[in-house]
Amino acid sequence: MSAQLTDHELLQLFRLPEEREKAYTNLIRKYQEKLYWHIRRMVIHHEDANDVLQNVFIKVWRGLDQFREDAQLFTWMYRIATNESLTYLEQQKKRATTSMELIPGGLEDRVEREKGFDAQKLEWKLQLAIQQLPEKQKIVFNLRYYDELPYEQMSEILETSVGALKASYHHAVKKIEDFILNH
Amino acid sequence: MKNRNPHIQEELKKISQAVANLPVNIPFDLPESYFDAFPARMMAKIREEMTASEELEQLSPLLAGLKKKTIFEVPEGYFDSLELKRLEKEAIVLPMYEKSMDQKPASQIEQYSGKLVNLNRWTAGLKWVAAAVFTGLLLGTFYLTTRTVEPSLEEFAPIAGTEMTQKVDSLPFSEEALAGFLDGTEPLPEENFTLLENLQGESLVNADFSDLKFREILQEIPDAELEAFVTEVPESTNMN
Repeated sequence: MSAQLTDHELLQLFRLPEEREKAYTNLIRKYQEKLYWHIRRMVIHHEDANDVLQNVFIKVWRGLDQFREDAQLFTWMYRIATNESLTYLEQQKKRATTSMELIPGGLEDRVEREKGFDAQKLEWKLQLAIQQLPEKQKIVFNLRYYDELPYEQMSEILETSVGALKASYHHAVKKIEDFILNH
Repeated sequence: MKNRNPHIQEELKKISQAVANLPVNIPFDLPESYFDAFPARMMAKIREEMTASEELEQLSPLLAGLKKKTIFEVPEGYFDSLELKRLEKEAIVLPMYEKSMDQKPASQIEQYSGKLVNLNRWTAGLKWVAAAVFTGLLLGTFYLTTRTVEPSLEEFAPIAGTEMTQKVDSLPFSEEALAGFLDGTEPLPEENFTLLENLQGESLVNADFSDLKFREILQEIPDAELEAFVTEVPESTNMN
């Protein structure tokens, strides 16, 4: 089976019981990297990103039979990944407040604890700058800056108007510029 | 450096030249061959996860089609607070508390303020032993103070021996009269009852000395005792 199959072809195969697993394996291969990095930029640690990515693909498997093709498969999966990441972060925050352990909390701390972190390097400084942004601006910036998604697609994923997304992106870039120049 | 979408790069430059010049690569580390192995691991996990639901689908498509979400509701935040309350109350807190005493700051130790139960079985059992002993003493005292007992022959033993000899010595019967009375051939002489009345205050003679009763009492005295008595007092006082 070719990895070049379109989303429509993959969905057709998925609905055939004998092809179901093969079709889904191809779907995973096709989207795993994009979804992983989208999640990783939000949760920072690999182990967390791995957990969230697995949850995403389980949800996609469960929901794929009911998926309506009037929406883009990729957009739908991105929305699931975004929501799963936010839920995961929220759960970790709650756990940190109810737990007696002192869990180092901030996402900035997480970046600093990553292997190879070097505050002098621009790519790490950019990551620190991104963690200063409000959640929505952070997602908008990542989708536009790293994934280079068109605003229309972002609008579907985040269920926000294109105008609002453009404004968010503008604010996010300005805040990052300010951080880079002053740190 | 990755080639950027020209349209997006142009947009970025208009907003911030400094940010447009930043590297696009992500510096995070990734385990080797992670993406090569991920699809197979993911499918294995999906098979594992799906076993129960697919089994239900085969057994009852109707049940499988129902939403698993429970219809019951709990107050908001209930489960968040429940865990903490449970930890405070359960005895399991004790070993945790003891183990962490040296590590935790005082402010955290104070959080373990729930009921602490001593898990030493012997110490816990002692209170039951004490309760059992106390109950036994109470019941024993009650029994001894309230029982009514018929005096037994054994209780007459002290007076059936030496004391009995002294009592009988003081009685105004002749030996022949006593032997006849014991054989049942002769009643006690009537005048002797008058003398017996003067002996009030003595434990033996306070009893009912009607003919029949007195015989019954004497019959309870063993023969050997009576023979010994007769031997010891050969010249018994003649009451007359």
